[in-house]
Amino acid sequence: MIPTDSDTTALATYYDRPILKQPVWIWTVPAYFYVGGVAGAALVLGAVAQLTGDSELRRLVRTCRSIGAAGHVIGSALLIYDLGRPSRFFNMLRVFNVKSPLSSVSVRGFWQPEVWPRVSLRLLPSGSGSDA
Amino acid sequence: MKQRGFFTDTTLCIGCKACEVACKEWNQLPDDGFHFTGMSYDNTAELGASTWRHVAFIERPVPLGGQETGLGNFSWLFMSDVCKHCARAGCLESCPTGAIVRTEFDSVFVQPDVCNGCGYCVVSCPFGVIDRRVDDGVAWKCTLCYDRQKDDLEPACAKACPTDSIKFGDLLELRLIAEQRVQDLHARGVNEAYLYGADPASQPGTQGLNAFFLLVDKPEVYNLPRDPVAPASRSETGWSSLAMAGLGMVVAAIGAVWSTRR
Repeated sequence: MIPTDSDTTALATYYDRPILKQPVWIWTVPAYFYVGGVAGAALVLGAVAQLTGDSELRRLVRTCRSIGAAGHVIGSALLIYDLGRPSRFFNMLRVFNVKSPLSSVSVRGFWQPEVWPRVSLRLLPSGSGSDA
Repeated sequence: MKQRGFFTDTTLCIGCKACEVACKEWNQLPDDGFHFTGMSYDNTAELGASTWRHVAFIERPVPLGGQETGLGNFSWLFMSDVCKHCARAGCLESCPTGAIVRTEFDSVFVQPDVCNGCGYCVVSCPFGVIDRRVDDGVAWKCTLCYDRQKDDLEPACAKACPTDSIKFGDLLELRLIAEQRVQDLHARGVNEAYLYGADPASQPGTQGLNAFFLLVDKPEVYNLPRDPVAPASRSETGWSSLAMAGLGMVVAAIGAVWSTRR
């Protein structure tokens, strides 16, 4: 059916033009991958440290939570800044699409109930020492 | 509702670009800057956010099957390219806002008032069709003239096509017409004629195109992919990789904490 290279013409491409479009993403997307990765790793490490119940690890747990909370805020800002229409960011949270990693991650990431209270506690000076 | 689509018969195209103009006129699309590509009569070069029909100009150093011309080893191929409105659309599957929807005519439509310009569809289209406009930051592509279809009008490009190279109609009828056309061309000696994306069996990666084509050379010559695949068909691999990475992270964290204890 579809001809192959051995058939037909000397032509191999259409004037060597790319078939696919270049991504429109800017530097904030790779920056988000780094920030989000560090935040996620910190939260996992903090959770494991907390589960051991070791009182010597209390400081580590707090540091990890702070890094996680800060990464969450910075990561969200980086992702929103990349959008063509940042003011419509919330449109991303109104549907859940398993086939779209971007949808799954932003919905799951933004609406996770366990993080935002901690974010507020971490960032408020009075809450910075509490073990929320 | 019936499935409607395009059958673009490239052997009838004369490269007049009336489809490009009609599309721009009807959809009120901005110009692309009046550049010369310097490569052929094709100065549009590609489909994009403000170009929803694009005519490719291919100068081949071989004659068309069953033809003899005064030019010797030469043949012109023209193809009016358009969004394929895939049965399994990469852009639609990737859209995190629900801006891209499947219409009652089975076409793929971007709602410009919902799209937030994340750009995920741009990399998810295996044909490189959809793109984000610089001025309004929103993704745009062919709507299969959804507004005209609502009023039972055929899309502007099909209406303007003087040779009926662009045929619009019921998808099942179009497939029959296309198969008959391929047989007719074969009978005339144009043995290289074949259909591109006419049904799910011939293009499993997209499960068939609602805007399919009759071609006479390799897909790559027209800047079409040989075996396009909607990227989300690999999302299972992606999710299991994510699970493995998460598990690895937990193991590493347990190891790190364990190593601090006496």
